[in-house]
Amino acid sequence: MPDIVVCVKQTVDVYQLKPHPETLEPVFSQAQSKISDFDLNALEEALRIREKGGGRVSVVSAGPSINQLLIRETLAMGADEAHIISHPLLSTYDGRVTATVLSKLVEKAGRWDLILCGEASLDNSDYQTGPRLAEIFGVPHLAYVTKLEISDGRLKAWKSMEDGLHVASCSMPAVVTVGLEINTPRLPSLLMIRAATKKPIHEYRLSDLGLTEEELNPSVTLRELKALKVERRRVKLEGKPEELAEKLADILVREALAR
Amino acid sequence: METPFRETYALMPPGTDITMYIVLTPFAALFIYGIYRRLRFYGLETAWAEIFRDIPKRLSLMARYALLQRRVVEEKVAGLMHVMIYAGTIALFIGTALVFIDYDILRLLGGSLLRGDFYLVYEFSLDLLGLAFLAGLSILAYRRAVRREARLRPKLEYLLTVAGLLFIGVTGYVLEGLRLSINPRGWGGFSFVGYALSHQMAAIPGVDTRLLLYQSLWWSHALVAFAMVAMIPYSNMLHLFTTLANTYFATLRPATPGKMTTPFRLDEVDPSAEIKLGARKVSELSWRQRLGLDACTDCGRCEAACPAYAAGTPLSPRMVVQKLKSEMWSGGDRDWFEEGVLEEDEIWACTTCAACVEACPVLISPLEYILEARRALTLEGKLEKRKVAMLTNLARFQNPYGFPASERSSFLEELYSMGVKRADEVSEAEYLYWIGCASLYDSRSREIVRSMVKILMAAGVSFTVLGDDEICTGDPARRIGEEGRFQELALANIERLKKVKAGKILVHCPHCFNTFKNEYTDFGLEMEVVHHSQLIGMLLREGRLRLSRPLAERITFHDSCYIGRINNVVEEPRQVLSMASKDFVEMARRGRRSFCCGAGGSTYWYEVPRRERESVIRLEEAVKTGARTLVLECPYCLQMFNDAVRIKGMENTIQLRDISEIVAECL
Repeated sequence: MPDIVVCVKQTVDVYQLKPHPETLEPVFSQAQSKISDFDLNALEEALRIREKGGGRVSVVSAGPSINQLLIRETLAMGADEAHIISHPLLSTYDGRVTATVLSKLVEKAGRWDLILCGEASLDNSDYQTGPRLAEIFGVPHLAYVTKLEISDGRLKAWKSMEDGLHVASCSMPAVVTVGLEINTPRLPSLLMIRAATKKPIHEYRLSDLGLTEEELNPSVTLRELKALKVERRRVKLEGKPEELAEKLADILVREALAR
Repeated sequence: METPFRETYALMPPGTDITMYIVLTPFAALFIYGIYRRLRFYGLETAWAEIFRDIPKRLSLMARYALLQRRVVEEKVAGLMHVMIYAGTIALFIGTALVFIDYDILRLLGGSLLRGDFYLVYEFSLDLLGLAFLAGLSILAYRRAVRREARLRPKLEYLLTVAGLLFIGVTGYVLEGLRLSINPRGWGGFSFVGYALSHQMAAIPGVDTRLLLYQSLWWSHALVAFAMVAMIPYSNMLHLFTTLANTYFATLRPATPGKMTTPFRLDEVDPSAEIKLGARKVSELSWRQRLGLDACTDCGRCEAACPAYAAGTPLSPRMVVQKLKSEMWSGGDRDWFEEGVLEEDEIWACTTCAACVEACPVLISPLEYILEARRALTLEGKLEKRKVAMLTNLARFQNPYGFPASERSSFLEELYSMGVKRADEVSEAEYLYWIGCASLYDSRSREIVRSMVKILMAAGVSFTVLGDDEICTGDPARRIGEEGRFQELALANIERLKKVKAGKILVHCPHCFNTFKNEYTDFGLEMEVVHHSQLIGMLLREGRLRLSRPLAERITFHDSCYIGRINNVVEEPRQVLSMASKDFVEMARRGRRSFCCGAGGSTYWYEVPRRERESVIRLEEAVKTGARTLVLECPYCLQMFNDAVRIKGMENTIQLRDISEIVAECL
């Protein structure tokens, strides 16, 4: 009966982001927020483990302004409780800050055997949180997991790597990060989301976690965020098919050489 | 001549009557127990209160569909077969009942019924209808053994039933023949079949042999008949009773297959209440739905009409009902999906086109069970990616495509520049034109709106649109089983619609049309709903619209399920098209018997594994008419056939146009 903590991040829906026509900076105000896709896979995996072997599933989340409705969706999927903190300083962060704050929330969640995270976040794709949490707690960690099994208190994980499939195993407690391939997250129905109001969401202040504002200062700062501007050349070739092929080949060769 | 009379127990040893009743007892007990067990399955306690309500309407349904078999006879061969067996069975039953009255009641009172002219009519009628009975059984045997119709499932039970009925019918005549050969009567000719046989029987040497043969056949005839009656509640023969009950209680179904039940009201239900939705066990069906399972005779008409079955998906509506029926009969109450009673793929292949509901002769709705199962599956939330994506889109963007509202702003601007007004800009209008997500976001479907605006303006119809206030009606959510999301969207729409000063809603999307007309009424919206094909028809009839340039080319028309079959709008589009083209031809399957394009019931939004697309099957039917243009009345049909045309490379063979586009072109 492993007790599991799942880390979820509330991100901007990057598929809705559009660059400002002049500054090329993404216009965040036009995009909705959501739970990062990978984190839903992590939660789904936790729920499947619980369906087989029992245990408790807690969700932790930290951010500048956590939307309780989104947390309630994770509870509606089946998590038992949530521990969250909203602090304005968390609008700028790096992997170290995130992992530190989350580790404090994990402690609030109580006893745990397994921490599940998305391998990266939808918006920043830093791939930092999982490994850093494992470092903080001094436990083994398995990343990029596409299939996970638990037997006799040990984890067995299939990891999809560039050179092929790795199969690794480790004892618990441990941290596992998962990708989109591992499962299809269940979708809580509207009634489930409403019914999830019964489940507890524990919200903390910084001091509750024993943290100071200084500790939220990121070591890495974001200088600039801009969309790449790609424009087509819009060259129009005319002539007979044979001539066109000739011209096109010329252009392709020229462009390739220019690189 | 001696007065003719019925010779009951003639040629049988004295005391046969008492013996027969003793032998009958265990069979009768088996019958009664079987009926009792069935009634227990349905849950009679709750049904009891229902029996005496709405009686005239229910009796009329029962008379039309069960007693007079209106739908059974719609098919010629199968209908004739059934009517003959049905009439024969009833005649033989009445015949036997009269013997009982004559011998076991009136005789004891010193009276008699079966004598004189009445008896002669009795004998003649029974011999005649007995022939009909055997002829019906012969057609049955022919359909099953010779024609081997695909929709007729071979089953040992059915073989035994037919064998038993044949045995009863044939031995009845042989007994009559033997009796008349041993004991000729002056009136024997009225039993004309038995009389004819008596000459053959006379060839059997020795009266004693014939007598022995008679007595043993008499008992076997009786025993088989008893056994058949005893087996009624344990076999498909139970449909004798269940179809009567099912048609009687059919008023308890939603009035149209386009209306799903409203199991709760989102604005009234306690948010933290325990949720139970749909069904994934027989016990979670209502007593009427369980009764419906038992009314199924396995005739296969629904399967033959089902587009998903024709397309080679795992779905057969007949098998859904039959599988649930045998699950109920096994007395267990297993989870359908965990225990493999049903496959999830079957349930998701349904386009909710209601062809099965239209085909069922005894008013079963296979669709109903499928939709209940979907609700249970969706409540659990374990859906595959495409369904999750569509429902997430509805939750976040209020449209199934997942486009942000900004995607439609340029199109709305275009409409405003054509002179279209928003509802909040005008004091009053006759119609609110509901555009629908398909036409708000899909470029091809936007053409329908452009044509409609042109038509409405030409006819001087006052109308407005909701503009940015329009969100999905919730139909795809409801049909996939997400009742909560449907109601959230419905309640939001109704609040907006109630503020609009227009008496009627004009819709060109059949799915929006159906939702407004049949489903929003449960949530308090009472507005007249008009499909664009109806409005165009009316404008033409009233002379407000004139088609100055009718088309010369051949056109044909595909009825959308949710307009034609489900909402019975069949004539108007045809009137319009006969005015729009001099060469309007019909496909074989049309009107209420049209064939789904394959997009309904949310299947548009996810992949259904299939051998052939419904749209391709249908497109080929359209091409066969020689039409150059296939006219449609639904933006989703349009998109489905667009794909079909590309797959078949028929871009130069046939064009696809909405009915509004045809009319706008003829103005």
